Amino acid sequence: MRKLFPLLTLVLLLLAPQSLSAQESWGTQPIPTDVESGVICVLDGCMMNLNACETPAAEKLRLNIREKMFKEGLNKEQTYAYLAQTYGEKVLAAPPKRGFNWTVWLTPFVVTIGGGALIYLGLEKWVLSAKPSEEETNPIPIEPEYEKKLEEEIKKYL
Amino acid sequence: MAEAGYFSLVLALMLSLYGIIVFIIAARRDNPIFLASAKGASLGVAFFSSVATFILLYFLMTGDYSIKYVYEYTSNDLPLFYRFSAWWAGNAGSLLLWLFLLTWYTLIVAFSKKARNLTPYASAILLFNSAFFLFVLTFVTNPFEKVAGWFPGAVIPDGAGMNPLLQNPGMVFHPVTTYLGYVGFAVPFAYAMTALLTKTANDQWIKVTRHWTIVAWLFLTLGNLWGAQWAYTELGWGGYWGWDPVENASFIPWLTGSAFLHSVMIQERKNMLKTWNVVLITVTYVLTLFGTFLVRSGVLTSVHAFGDSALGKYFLIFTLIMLFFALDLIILRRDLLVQDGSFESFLSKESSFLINNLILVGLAVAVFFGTIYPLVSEAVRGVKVSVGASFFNPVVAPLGIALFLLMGICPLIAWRKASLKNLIDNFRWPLLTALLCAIFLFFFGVRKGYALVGYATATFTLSAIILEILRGTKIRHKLTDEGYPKSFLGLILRNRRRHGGYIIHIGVILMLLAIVGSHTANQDLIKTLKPGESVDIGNYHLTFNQLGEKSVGTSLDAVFADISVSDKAKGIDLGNVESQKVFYPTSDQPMTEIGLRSTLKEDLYIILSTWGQDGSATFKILINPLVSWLWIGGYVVILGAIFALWPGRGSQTGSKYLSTVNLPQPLEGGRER
Repeated sequence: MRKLFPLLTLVLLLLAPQSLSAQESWGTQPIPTDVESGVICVLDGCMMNLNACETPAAEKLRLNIREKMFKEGLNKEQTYAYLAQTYGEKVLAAPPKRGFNWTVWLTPFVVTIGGGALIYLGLEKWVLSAKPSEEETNPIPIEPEYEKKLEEEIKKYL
Repeated sequence: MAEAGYFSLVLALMLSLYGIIVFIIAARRDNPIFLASAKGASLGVAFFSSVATFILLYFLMTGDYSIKYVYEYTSNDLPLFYRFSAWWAGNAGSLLLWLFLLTWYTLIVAFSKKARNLTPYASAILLFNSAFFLFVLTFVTNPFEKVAGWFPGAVIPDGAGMNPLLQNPGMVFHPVTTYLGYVGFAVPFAYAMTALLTKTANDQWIKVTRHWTIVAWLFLTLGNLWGAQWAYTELGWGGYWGWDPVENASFIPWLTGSAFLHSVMIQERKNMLKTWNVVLITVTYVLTLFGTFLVRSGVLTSVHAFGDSALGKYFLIFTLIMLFFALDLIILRRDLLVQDGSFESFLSKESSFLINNLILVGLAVAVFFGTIYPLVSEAVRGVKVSVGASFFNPVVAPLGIALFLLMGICPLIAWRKASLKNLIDNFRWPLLTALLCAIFLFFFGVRKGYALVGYATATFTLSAIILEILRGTKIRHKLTDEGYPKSFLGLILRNRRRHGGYIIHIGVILMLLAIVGSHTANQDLIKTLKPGESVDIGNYHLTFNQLGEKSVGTSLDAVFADISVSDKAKGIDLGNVESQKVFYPTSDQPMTEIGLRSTLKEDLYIILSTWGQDGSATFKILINPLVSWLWIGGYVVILGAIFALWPGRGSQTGSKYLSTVNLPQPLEGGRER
């Protein structure tokens, strides 16, 4: 074992700069904007979007994301799942599309479509109740003399 | 003197309560003596509220730090400009600003010679609002409260100072305009409630409050616009709209207020949507209060909020009182709100207005529900969630595009009835232009779906409006034999209300272009550079010259980075940009002052993030295309609103579009029933 010790030390010494440079490499890689913009800076309670936050807490969170994405190779969804598990759902800038959260995603469209249906029904009722008069269905042609007078009158208001 | 300020508030509160009672008695008994007395009371409320305001301003300007409010929001090194804006920097001062505006609005209503049958109740409702603010200022957050431990004769040499984020011209104008908008919507609400109380079934309240509504909408638009400008230049995160709860709080009433501005036209022209209009103005007014509740209560986290305070519960109670009062009245008077008009076709300008309202309200629901969802989730699931741009952008974008399309469709459809032929004739050119725009952009490398749809929609709507104006000019030229330029001017000036609306729509389209451009073609880069090193982004070649320190203003220190900008392809020097971090004594974190090079094409936006001992610095560099058009478009909107408001010939409401079956029936002897 004693004979092995110098050898182990040598191996560790040789490996150390490599692992340091490896950490440097994943630790400084830029996080894609679409990933960063989907995360909220929750560590110090500032609750700003991570891509807009420059506090030390935001840097810590970024490092955490870099570690998961670039060191462990997680994709965007997996990283988000990890963040939600670690910090709670509030770390995500949008509620995940599952369970009760569907209410917030769907309500605007349900209200708009439902409102559209109500408007259609209302229009149907109002249009049917508006029976055109005889003059409207068979308009009486205006005599040229009156048409000219009408045009003269209109010009006064232009 | 502080006692005089507080006493003014107490007097104003007592007078407002007296005024409410006497206005109601005057209305019920139709008594001119009571009415004169009530008007005097509203004058007194405005006077004493103004006295309290001026006393607070005097303390702010002279730096009397024995007053807690002055101590908390000002300091000796604060420029005079920001000493004045400290009026609305904190809770008590901003509520005093709200009260100041409200009491003067009330005074104008009380002494108005229009619709004298409605003014007593309307004034009483507005005074009730004033009484609430006076109650809060008197008993909950007194702006004249002394610093804890202060005793007569003690001198406090300096104050704690203003939040650095508020030391920006944007923050001077944004709150005032937003409040002018918020307070302004109280007036049409008060008249709407009065119409119900006095059983006035016609559209008199709408005609009386048209200017009030547009003015309120104009100021709220300006408030949102300046808020966005402040966020863009001061918060230093590269964007102008972050869907923060406080931003949303002023955007939601803007949406419902916009819906109201459109739907009243149906009541004016067709005697329809009476209930809907009363509901819309109620919702808009209640939302202005609810927004204030969000800002003051601390229930939602926001970068703009005033922080956690007991004020929230008072605002919630008042909001609920006003909501139930309005709903109760609407239900009680539902018989009055029965409409006597009808639609003659599924396809008409009227029906397109209905769809417009549907989408605006749908957007308001989306933003409202998204804003309060963290509270809902916590209440229902016990789980805290965040709702930010990642939710709002995909939900709002499709509804927004539909709204913009409608903006182009609406002007080209006739009132009452439109035929298919009419539609094809009117939409042929706008559709073709939009299609050509999409093809052109596709061949020039724009491949994102939202970008293509957004630009094509903007082109469609813009060409539809231009086509409508060209047609009008042509018809006028034919009828009057005037030259085309004179016909164009005559057309625009003779119907300012309609063409003001078109100008507003053009402004909004410019804003759409900016939103689409800045969201779909933006670029960003984070880079650490040593002095002399360069980096390329977009068409720019940036060289970091040096990192230095300097004094800003009278007592602030700043670290700055000087960057040379040149055209990457042509090598032309485009000047220097400086990005800073400013150290304020009142903040632990240095504040970002962005380096900005703005052109009509794009903004080069540089944020100095961190720096090292070796003189290196880390930058976040963004290219935000078309952002200038957001501000230009915003000012075009304001211009359009002013144009529509301008009094005189051409500003009147259009005539009624009633079918013959709905026309008022003549009585015997020729009078109308």
